[in-house]
Amino acid sequence: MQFCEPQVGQHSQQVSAWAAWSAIGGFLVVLFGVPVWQIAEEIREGGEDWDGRPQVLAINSVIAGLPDVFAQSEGTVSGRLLQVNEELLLGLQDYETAINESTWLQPAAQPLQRLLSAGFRRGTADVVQGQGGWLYLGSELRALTGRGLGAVVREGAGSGWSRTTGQAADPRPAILQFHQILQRAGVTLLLVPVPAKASVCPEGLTGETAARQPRVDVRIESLLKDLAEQGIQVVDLYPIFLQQPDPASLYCRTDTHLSGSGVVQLAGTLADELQRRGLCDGRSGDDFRVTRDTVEITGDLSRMLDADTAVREQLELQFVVDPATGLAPEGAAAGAGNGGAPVLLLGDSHLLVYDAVDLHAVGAGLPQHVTRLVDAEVETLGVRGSGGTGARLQVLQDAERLSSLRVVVWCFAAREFLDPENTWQPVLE
Amino acid sequence: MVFSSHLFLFYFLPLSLLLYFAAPMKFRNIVLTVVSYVFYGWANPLFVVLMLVSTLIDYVCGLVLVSGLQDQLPGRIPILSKSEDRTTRQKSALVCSIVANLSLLGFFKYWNFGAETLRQLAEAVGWTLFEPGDVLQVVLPLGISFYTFQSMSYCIDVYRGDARAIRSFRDFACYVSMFPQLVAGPIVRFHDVSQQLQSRVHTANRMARGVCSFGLGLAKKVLIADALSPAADLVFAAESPSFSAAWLGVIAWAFQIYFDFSGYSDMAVGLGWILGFDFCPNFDRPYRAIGMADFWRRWHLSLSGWLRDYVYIPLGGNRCGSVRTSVNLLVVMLIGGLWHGAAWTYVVWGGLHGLLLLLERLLLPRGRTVSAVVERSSAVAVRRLSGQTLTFLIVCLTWVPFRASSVNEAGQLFAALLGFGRRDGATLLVDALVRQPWTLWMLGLAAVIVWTAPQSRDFVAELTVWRVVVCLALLCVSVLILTLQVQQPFIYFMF
Repeated sequence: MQFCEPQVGQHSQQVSAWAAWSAIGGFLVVLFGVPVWQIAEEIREGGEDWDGRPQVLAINSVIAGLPDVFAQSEGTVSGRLLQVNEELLLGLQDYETAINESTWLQPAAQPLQRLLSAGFRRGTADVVQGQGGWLYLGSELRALTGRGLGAVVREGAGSGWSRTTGQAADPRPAILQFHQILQRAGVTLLLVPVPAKASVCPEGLTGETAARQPRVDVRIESLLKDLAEQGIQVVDLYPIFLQQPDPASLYCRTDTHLSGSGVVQLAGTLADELQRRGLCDGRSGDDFRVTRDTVEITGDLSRMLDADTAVREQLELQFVVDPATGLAPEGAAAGAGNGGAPVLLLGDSHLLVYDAVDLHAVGAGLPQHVTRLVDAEVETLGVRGSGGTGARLQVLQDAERLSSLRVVVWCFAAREFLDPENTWQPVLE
Repeated sequence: MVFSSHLFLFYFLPLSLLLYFAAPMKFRNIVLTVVSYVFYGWANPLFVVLMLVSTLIDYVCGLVLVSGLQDQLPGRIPILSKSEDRTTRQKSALVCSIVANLSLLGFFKYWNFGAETLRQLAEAVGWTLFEPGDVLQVVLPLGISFYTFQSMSYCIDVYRGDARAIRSFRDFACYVSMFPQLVAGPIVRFHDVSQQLQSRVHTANRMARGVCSFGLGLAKKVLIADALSPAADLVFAAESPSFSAAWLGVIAWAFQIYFDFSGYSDMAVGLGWILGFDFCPNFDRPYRAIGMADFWRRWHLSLSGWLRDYVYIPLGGNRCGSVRTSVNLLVVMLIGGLWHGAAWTYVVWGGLHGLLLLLERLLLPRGRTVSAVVERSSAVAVRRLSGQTLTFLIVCLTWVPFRASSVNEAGQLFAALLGFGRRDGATLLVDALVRQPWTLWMLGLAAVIVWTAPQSRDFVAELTVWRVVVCLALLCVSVLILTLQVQQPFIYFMF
């Protein structure tokens, strides 16, 4: 062990005045230049929402509201002070987030990201760059490689690491409760999680298709088995997808969702399973016309990596058209949720993709293809965000809707099972 | 607020520097104290009260220690004589300071750990004392381990006659709260900066070095440490990493913690120079150490120095026979481990280092170190290289319990490092992710810097124009990269 001696006068070497002042000058230019430019940009951009004050002065409103918080809170003085402290802390955090997010440096740094991305495949926390243009969602990879359910998390600022080894909440109580509520209403639940892209198409990362064996998402496999043993009807898509001649073609390279052929495959599987389990009759699909078209998309993963990306992906989509109207099947528009249909497609954006203006196309999504193949009216409730929690809570809030239903096909990204962000909260009955 | 944040770099720091340099010399400590309290309160305004209480206790105890002397001279309070016996009042003041500081640290840092350990012990014998959620959960105030040690050292130094007590509360509060090193060190001893608190010089040379040190530190953190973090996080979170992925992940962590912590220290030292202070260095090329004793002469110097002077030597150091020396060494390393965090993993980490130091002492002739043996042997270069490599690998292994979430997880990773890890479908995926080109480039760059580049302190000691250009360029690139990634706090912020 070594003493820490006073260092005064240790650096007696002379620094040239030119070097010293250029260091100081450069530092001051960076330190003061960035906020000054920021303020100038804000003034220049103005806009209707702008209140005439630069973002940095928003700290005033954080502090100005505190006396009111104190006056309006109840309890002892110390309790009220604690509430003020809580409010101040939240205000400071919001203020810092706003400052970080509004900086002009963010777009200015994009060329550097493009350079590093092209030269060294530098991804971000959200997106991992694979070979051959494959992009993967960071949280999905962390869910697949992490410890799954039940890991011990060391919480608190004093011990850390909870972010990296985060334990996913056990989804089973919430799923079983949902199943029981539906069962009581005479509705059958069919659970159809969409396998993680990295489990079906790991070759963008591993460079070899052999990586699919043994199964990458072992924790999800065991979870689905467990749920099936507890009486829930489960469709494990992983083995079905792997039986396809080219499993990698079922997913987009630059997007988190299934490709056009993936959607068609999923719809076919759903129709088969509904028929096989006696939940719905199938039909040939000849009642509808299918047209194929190639569309060019900018994948969500590409955009997450670079908001102004020039990367485009070509997909062949199958558009379903009702010959009578020349439009997509009636009642199948994603998010319509008009009630009355016996089959409800419930889930996340996998139900919206290719059937929403901002999700690459309209009329070529899962609802259209399921409608084409199932001899029953189909309604869709797809949410942006969590299909496991958000969509489930939304359907349970509408008790009347359950009365007309026969089947709920619950279809969402399987990564949600292992995502520490997803709370999987059961509902209060 | 962290140094590597937009808010700190472009709003807090410029404003603080502006206020500091605009203020007349005699008000600069007040300005520095106020902005430091704002900096500290940003994490949680309530913590400010705690720091103020801790500061007040030590300030008053310091005055009590010299209560008979402070009126003798109008200027500085004389230093206590080392040879004189201390009065009961002085002893009480010292005890009060130590007990107060350790109580604060004990409560805020170890309460949760103690309660949980007690609950588990009771559960093991079939008792249920309380449920996990029933007991008070204490939030750890940022940097408490650093400033309590720092503030405690003031009273000990005054008591021992190593430092002069301070009359001005303003100066003492400035010493305790100084934002550059407040939350993650280096732990500045009072006698190192007591002169500078009263008068310090601001020269262009010193400021230029400060600027360059700050730039290098930011680059270490943002460009290297943060780039290695995903690989380390992935492996430590994985249930089934392969042998090679486990080693890559652990080495990534070894580099990450070094670049993160030494980057922070460089920034702190740099800011110190800009503000006219001279803080002690915290690192001396630790991964070039040969042997564990050598490692501890190079790693986190301010903590190891503190533990040596305030724990190891008072316990008897190496003056009471080999058995007592061994016990002292082990105790100090266990305390060092526990200082980092309230968890058994840190105890294991400290214990491992203690045992390795003991082993080194046992295997070597009395008073010799591995590095000394290597330097005197033939084929010095080869032995030095193998000595450094072996030490680095051992240090890497000891990082496993330090970084793991639990002793059980550390055990799983040890198994993978030895080739006995569990393999499943995710193993290939972990392998592929750890071997991402960006991670491998950064690992290579980190290795080159660690084993060939000069230290930041040496790099900025003789500043030339091109060195200034390098430092400013690194500063600019780091700032741009910062905006492209999620803000990552410094690892030592949580200790």
